[in-house]
Amino acid sequence: MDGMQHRREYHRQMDDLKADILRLGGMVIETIPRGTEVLLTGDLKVAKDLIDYDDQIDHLSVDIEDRTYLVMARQAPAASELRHLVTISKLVAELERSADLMVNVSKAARRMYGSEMTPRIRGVASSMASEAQKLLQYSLDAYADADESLAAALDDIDDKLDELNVDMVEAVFAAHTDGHIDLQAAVQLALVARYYERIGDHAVNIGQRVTYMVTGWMPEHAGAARVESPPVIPPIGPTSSGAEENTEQASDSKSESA
Amino acid sequence: MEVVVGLVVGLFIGAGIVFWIRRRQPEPLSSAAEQRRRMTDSARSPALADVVSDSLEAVDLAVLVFGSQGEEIYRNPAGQFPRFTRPTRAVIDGEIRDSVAEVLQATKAGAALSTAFEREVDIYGPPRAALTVRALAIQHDDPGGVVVIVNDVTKERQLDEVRRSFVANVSHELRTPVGAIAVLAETLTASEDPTVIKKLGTRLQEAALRLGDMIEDLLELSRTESGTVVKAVNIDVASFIGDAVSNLSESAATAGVAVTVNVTPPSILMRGDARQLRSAVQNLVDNAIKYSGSGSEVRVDAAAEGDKVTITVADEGIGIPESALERIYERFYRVDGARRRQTGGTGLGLSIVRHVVSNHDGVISADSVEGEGTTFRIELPLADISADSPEGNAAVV
Repeated sequence: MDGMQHRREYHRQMDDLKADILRLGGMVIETIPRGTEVLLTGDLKVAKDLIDYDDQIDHLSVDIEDRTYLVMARQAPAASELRHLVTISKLVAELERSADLMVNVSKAARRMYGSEMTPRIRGVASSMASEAQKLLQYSLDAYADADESLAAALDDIDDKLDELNVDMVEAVFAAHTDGHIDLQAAVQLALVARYYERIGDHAVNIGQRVTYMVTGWMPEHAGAARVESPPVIPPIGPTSSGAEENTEQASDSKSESA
Repeated sequence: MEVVVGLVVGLFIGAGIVFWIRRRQPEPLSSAAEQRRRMTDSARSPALADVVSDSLEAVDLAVLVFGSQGEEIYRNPAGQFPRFTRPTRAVIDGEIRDSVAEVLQATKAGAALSTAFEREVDIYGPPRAALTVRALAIQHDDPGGVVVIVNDVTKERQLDEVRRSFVANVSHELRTPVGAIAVLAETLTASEDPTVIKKLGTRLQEAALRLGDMIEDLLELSRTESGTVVKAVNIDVASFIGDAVSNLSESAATAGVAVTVNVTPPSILMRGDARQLRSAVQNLVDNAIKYSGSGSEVRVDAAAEGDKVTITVADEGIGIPESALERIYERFYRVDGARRRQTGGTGLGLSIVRHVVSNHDGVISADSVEGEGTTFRIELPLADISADSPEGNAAVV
């Protein structure tokens, strides 16, 4: 009976953690339109709200992380449950960092306060924002549904954001060359493009963590396996038995991690 | 006002839920609970409980009920927040859970039962929304709980904002030219140098014209806002588009913008007010020219399809930020202050267009990418053409 209760308590804690990580994700997604509004309109009230909002995000992040470690320590979860908890603690870091990037966007907006962006830059910036927002949303969907294929697709979906990053930098150079914006603004805008682009990378990371949660495997494992047992170049001439052993080992460690 | 009504309704529903839940989950009664039960017995009836549960399912207000440990017991369909994405719903749910925890804690500390906890939740979305979350303790002792009512106050907030900016704008817009006229006239009476007099006179004239434009547009707006099609006659779409474009040929030439018109089939007949429709198209083309660079093109297309005609005005201009697309039809709304200085319109054009379109039972929409251009699209129904008026083809200007 006591064990049952203990188990129920554990499931409740897991459910709360899941609900809170989605809430954290939702709050981080909210920072994207907020930070973008600061960038495009220079609204200082929204900027201040965003900084307060980021404090709430930090608070929730710390809280989730602490609770994750407590569950790990007290409930001794195993296998998929442990992977889930590890994933939550990694997701918190990716999400929290993404919110910081949007705070950076609004800080960049403050540094170039008063200088007028060209319509082209504004257009690319808002496209980058909605693309970054979409990616984070997908990554959270992949987590909530434990959707491995959506998680794996995020890397490809991120290509669009990478292209927009290139467009943005081009638009910034063009605007600077034509004398529309000064060097300070140009540098800040190039950084802004980078911040949005990084949010996309965090979404891809979340996708990889979700893959790990579901399958126990991550793309990084492929690289790690290469380090553990480097590919063997077959010697010319009659094959020695030692080389064969090595190749076997390499394929072994691969199938293990898969 | 509506918030208050919402709250009253919410409290009523909340009280209803208490009856309803207690009916569904009979529990051993403590003496205090027994007393309360006797008090409410007269108000309770199976019929009432059914009405409450039915209306909870149908009502727009989100209603949620939580148990004494903060566990969710009930949530009506509006409480699923279907218009938001899942992450946004998670944010709203988080705020609700915080409210519930707050109420449970306060109740434990002995707060009065009627103490309501209210918090506002701003959602940037999309969709952008403003919500108020109100949480109320159902009763102190076990098995108490919390009722949460979430009100969507997005519309109210937007209307408030529109009203505030309208009042501020209309006084500013009217005062500026009047102030300029007064100062210019005063300087004019005191000056004797003919070149100065000429210069001041020209500026006086400009300010007066601007004021005249503004009053003309306000009158036009109030005429179209009255919501009736003043003269519904048979008219040719090509003819009012042609009139609108030719009225602007001079400003298009000055701006170095080419305006091309393409109507297929060449003659589309519809019922409507030629003067209003001409002014709508003219406002759209005028904007397109203003916000386009020299050497670019403005395309006006009209095509009949089935029982409607679609008129599009597309430019390659500076575009409109996505966040502003919803607000551009408001009187005096400007995307930013700089545009006003550069183009000097009255800020009423798109309001007029929208009213003309709705007077004709049509729909207006806009697509825009900043830096690439804007396309306005008007869809108007092609009602049966009655044979009464041959004057249609000669659009009345």
